Amino acid sequence: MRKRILPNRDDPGGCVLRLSSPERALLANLPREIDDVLGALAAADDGDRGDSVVEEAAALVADAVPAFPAVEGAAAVPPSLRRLFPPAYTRDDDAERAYVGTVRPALLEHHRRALQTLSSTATAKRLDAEQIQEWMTALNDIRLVLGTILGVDEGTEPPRAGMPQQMLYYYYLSGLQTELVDFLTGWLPEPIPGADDSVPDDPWGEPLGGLRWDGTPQPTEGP
Amino acid sequence: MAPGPAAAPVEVERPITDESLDVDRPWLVIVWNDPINLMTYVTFVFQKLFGYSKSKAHKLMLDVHYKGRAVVASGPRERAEMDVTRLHQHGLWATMERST
Repeated sequence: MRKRILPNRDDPGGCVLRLSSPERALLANLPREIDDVLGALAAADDGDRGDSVVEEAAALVADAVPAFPAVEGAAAVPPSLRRLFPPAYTRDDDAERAYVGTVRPALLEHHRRALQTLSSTATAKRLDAEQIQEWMTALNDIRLVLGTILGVDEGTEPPRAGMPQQMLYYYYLSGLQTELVDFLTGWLPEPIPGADDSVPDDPWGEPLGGLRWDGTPQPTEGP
Repeated sequence: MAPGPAAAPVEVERPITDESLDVDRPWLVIVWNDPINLMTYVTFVFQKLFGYSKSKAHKLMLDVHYKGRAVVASGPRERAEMDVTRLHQHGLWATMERST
């Protein structure tokens, strides 16, 4: 398959983009709706506007999954965006409240900056190293939101003609992200020679009673 | 929100059992399986954030995928929380638990 992300010989770490006009139009538009919801969430966190504004903005992106419970002092995260703001402490409400209070403003800004960069550089011929990182963040964010809305799970069927458009967008972004991962993997520093390469055993059995942190069952062990 | 009144500074004597000094019970950074993040992306994030070799990052990714979770780092609470935040910035399902 023809590569769409090529190294830029004049800018080490940068790339040249070979994308069609429809691809560029999609990449310019998709981040905007999500950024609008994040903007409303940031405003609600700041107390400028009520949670209803978030709900209204979230309606731009269809919601089909339960929301995380609201954390005291912070606006409730719309269901479609739950994957962008996972909890850090699942069994300590006080610690989680402190974590959200400390981390969420910067995390919101991080996601918004990436989405805005993707949207504003979708028509660019070249990206520098920093912009490529922002693209990676934004593409993953959009996939997380679309995947959540579409209810993507291990049994979701592979792409085929006639699928709902959002699902085709999801698979398109997956392909582009795979190319970005390949590109950026080539720029990772070498691991430290002699570093411990072992993977520790799971040290505590079943701390959540066989459930994942969000209450869904653990998948059965694979091969 | 309007700022509240400034609290007077209070000197607190930290107990000598400060949990951050309890090296025998480090905090564990756990990444949970999810059906959306690409396997190649998860491997890449482990390499990028923790400097792991490709083979170690790949093994951890397979643990996440097949066992449902993997401990990807451990250490003092502040360090673990920083790692969780970086994983959240990269869209991974990460939580932290005190080692038992």
